[in-house]
Amino acid sequence: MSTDHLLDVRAISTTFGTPRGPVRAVEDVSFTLDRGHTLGIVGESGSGKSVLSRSIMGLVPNNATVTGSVRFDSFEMVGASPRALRKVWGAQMAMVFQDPMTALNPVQKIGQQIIESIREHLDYSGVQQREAAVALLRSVGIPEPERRLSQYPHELSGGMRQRVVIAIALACGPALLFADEPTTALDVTVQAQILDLLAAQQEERRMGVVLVTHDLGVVATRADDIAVMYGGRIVEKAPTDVLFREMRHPYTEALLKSIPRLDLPSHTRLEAIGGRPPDLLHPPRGCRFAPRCPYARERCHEVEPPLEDAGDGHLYRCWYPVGIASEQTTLASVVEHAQEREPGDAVAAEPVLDTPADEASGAATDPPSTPPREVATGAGDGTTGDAAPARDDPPPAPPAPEGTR
Amino acid sequence: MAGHGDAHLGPADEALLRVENLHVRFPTGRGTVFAVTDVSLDIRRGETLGLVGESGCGKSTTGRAILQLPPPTEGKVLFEGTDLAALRGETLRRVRTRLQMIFQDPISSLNPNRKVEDIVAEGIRIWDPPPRSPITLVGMALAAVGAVVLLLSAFGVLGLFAVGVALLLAGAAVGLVHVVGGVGQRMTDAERAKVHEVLEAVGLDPEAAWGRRPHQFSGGQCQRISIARSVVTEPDLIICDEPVSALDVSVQAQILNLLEDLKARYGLTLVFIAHDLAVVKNVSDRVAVMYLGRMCEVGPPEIIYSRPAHPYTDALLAAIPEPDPDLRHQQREALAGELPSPLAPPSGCHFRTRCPRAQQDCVEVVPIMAPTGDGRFVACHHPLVDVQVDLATSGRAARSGPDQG
Repeated sequence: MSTDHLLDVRAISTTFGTPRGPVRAVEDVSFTLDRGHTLGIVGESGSGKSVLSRSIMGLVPNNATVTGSVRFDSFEMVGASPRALRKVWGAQMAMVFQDPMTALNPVQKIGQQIIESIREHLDYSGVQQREAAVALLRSVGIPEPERRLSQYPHELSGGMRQRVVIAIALACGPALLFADEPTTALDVTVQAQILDLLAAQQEERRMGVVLVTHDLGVVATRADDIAVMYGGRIVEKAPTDVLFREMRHPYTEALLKSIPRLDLPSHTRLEAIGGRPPDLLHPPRGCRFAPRCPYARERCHEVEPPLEDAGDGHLYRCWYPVGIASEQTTLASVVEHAQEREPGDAVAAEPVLDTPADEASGAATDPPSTPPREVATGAGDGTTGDAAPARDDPPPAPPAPEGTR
Repeated sequence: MAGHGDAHLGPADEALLRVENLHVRFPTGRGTVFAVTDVSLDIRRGETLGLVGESGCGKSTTGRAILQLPPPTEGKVLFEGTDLAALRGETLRRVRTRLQMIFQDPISSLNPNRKVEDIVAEGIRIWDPPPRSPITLVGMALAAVGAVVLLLSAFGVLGLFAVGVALLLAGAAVGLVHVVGGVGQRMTDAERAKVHEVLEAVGLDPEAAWGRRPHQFSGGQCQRISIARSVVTEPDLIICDEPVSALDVSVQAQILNLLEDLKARYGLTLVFIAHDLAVVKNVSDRVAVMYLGRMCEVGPPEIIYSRPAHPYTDALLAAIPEPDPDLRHQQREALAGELPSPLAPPSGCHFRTRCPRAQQDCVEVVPIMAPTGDGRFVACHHPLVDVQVDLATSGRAARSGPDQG
């Protein structure tokens, strides 16, 4: 049945061997993608979203181990020889990288960079290669394509460079395109142009697209399905409409609540997510999000919830899902509950304070009902190099220093 | 965009900061870059002014020109009625304690070699230097003896040339380590108390943070340290240059809430520079939109965002991806074309080359700021909202004549 899908990812895990121990950057991720469809992968830095797309393509460094199965058009990518992968890269599967400034070779002309993959995969004559490159540049909306072929990347603006990167990715007509934060380095008006371009090319070529981003706004209108990643795992995955209507995972909810929105008035208090992402060297024993979750109970710190299927392709990983164990959050409910910031609110009165990484993991290995609060001050603790100090959030009753209540 | 004029400025005595006809030009090998052209602004005490626009619009340059980093090419920056651009040397340094800046990249804007308390205390130390510490005296003594030995060697009295050089260098090295590295700098009780207070105010535990260096903190915590450093001298005005754009959304919400809290607590006035319109709306009392070095539109965020008057603001708002899948089928016209080169900005209205409403008069005449009757001002010949012709403004326009003479 795996042959039915363009891409079938099963239980893929990526582990980086580091001097301080193995880091499980991606753990047990599965999904399928069909031609013409877009999967949006959303997460914050360190959630494993970029490593996931690189693991699928096989573009991981030597110290990484990838396990699981990635079937692309019934070709097994995991464990394939570099020679076999070379045939797939560029020709059938391509990637658009985040930073168009560094993705292009600064000392090579744009024409050569586009022709490089055409020459590798297609049996074209020199004239045909050049014509193909001109046609590609024209299709990605670059004016005067003939002249651009002999220009260097620094002669183009950021948006134009990203168009060139897209042209290179599309050169051999891939069936699957990974777009790893394709617009993060660009301005909003340019972002809209590039996303429109990607959508038009996808429709024209019936490509499958994996759109990796940190911005829920980008995927909301562009993706068919959305997978939310946290701490290396998919915590929720659903068709876009379902996700926004019936989000189940508290992390998805927290993400939505923390975004400043255009339709909310000025000075709306944002619901910040307290704490920090989990340290993947020492991940929490239970749910990865439990140390920061407002709904977490004892069970969440003890046992990691499985990825449950709620039907309609809606999967989530939570013991006490939003909308079932607590009130359903939607776009409208966020607007409804919007509150103005109160001047004079003590900073400590909300869970805005960062938690050191080792404290989050410590909370899970120790009895969870009494999370240790003073770990950060342990200066003699030499093993936790990245442990950062911070006063922890005193959860329900904050000691408002001003006493202005 | 737009244009010039100062109809949008309030009475001069109400403004904490008033920028009049600010021009910043950078001479380069390829010609002059017109970074900021004829921008006028005013900020009332306690107000947050959002400065928004895409890269290259001159928003950061405007912020820096206010702090005289570098001083503007032309124009006045009136801070409580004093023109900062006319101040030099010690008087400018004295005024600068009341103006502070928070930078975009929290990690690179902190000296990695220094401890948190030294970074935060540096501002007050410069203004109230502690008595010379023993280590300074040692360095000075070493350098002095070295100089004497060197002098004597030069005249042939002593044959210890190398020793003199060594002593001189040792003295300089001790001084450098002391001043730059912060080794041996003692902190007075008053400084210690002040640093404690501001670290507490930005939500870091002073006890835990004390003695640590920036790399031991997360990005969000580093931004808190930057903020602590900027409020320690008790400034009146803080210029925040993209303070949250390098942060993840959850951390961004924490920092935005924190800035608003500190603003209330310390009675701050903020200039908030950002490219993200939703973020700007969330914190601002008034928003100014810039394009290619000129002001487009100034006014309360509710009015600008719900009924933009300038075609550029309209395009900018349309380009923002909102996290709402229902907007998927809404036809949005992405802004076509590219930002013109600031080396040769278009004549007339700077936005006319990309403006869907541009006419012949946009080529010839620079539009001036005109009120739309709801507290908002727009510089456009063909705005999306009717403007009220103001005799006083048109009179001024006739006098100022064609722009950038």
